[in-house]
Amino acid sequence: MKAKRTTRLMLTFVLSLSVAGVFSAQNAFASDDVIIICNKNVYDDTLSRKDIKNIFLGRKTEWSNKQKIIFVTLKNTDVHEIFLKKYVGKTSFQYANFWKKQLFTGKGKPPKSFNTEDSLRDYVADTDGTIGYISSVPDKSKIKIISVQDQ
Amino acid sequence: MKKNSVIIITIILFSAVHVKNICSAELDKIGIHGFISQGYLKSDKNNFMAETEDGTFQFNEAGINFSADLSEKLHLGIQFFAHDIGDMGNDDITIDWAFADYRWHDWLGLRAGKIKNPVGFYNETRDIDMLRTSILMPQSIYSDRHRDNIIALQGAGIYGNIPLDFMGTLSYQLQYGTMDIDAESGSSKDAEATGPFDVTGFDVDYAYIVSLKWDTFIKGLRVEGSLSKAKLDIGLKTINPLIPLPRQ
Repeated sequence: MKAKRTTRLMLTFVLSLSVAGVFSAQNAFASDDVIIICNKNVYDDTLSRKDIKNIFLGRKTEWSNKQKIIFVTLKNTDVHEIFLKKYVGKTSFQYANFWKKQLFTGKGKPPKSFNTEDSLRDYVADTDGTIGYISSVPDKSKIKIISVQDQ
Repeated sequence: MKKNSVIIITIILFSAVHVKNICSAELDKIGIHGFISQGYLKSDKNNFMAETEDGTFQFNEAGINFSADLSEKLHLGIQFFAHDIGDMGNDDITIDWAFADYRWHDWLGLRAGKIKNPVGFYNETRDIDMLRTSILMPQSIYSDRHRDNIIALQGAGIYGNIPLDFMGTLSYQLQYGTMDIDAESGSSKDAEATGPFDVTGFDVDYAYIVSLKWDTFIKGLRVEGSLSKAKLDIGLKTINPLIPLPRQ
């Protein structure tokens, strides 16, 4: 009986350690390989990771000043995969399927997507309320960089 | 004797190959999107869903939708759909969904029209081959025989997303209205098989669905639950006047 109890305690301890390990590993992930950008006229300067996820899944539709959020993506590129993995928790296949589901049930519309980072960046610079992502730091006179809170 | 339609002829052109195709176009402000698929069913023993012992192409779906944003918050759309699986569907063109959607806030939006029902994870997308996780959905939850009873309702609904801090996000949908169940549906055929009956129609008093989806704090884990109810009368006509109807 005593041996069983010890085994159970050890298992619980090992499980809690491994779960804690997973959480801390996620928080230790570097956050500078994808840069979140938005139009210069956007009201907000910071977003939480959860906000970004909710924006790109169509759940958060307004900036703090009630301006409509227009979110844009890159077509299948490494940057798109990195962004989705880090902020949305889906692969590009899953993300595309998510939006097909919204589209073919009438409950949402997929975001505009761009072939190149240059075209995405230009669209974000020219269109009010837009948010997107790129891999290199843009010209800050034309585009705002959103700083991401780790939450 | 199956009805012929333009869609069947188009689908026959893709026969012997399971083809999925999505096309989309944006005409000014109207979005147009579509899908089409054709399958083949063959079983070595016993018929399943269709005359599968002989092999059959009675397994296809096609749809096209049109949508437009009337304003930043108001969205309108309609989808036409045709499918065939054995003796159900028969490629009759139906309105799959057609509704207006007003997204007032992230936590509250309003819908009115014919809206697909969010039962389980896959009821809303069960008809679209590219979105199914397997060729046929698990029949215990997504019974193709009883699809018409649960697929959509006409009425109004509310929906929204509520962030729950560190706990994740909660999404909800509530819909209330009535349903149009075809007299040739799978349920009709089941009712007709119980005796000398012909189903003349379904009269649905009301139907509602409540769906809650929790996108949890555990990466990759989501939990969904739904509750639905309908009150309806089935019209039965006896086809052999010499046999008395069974008394309840």
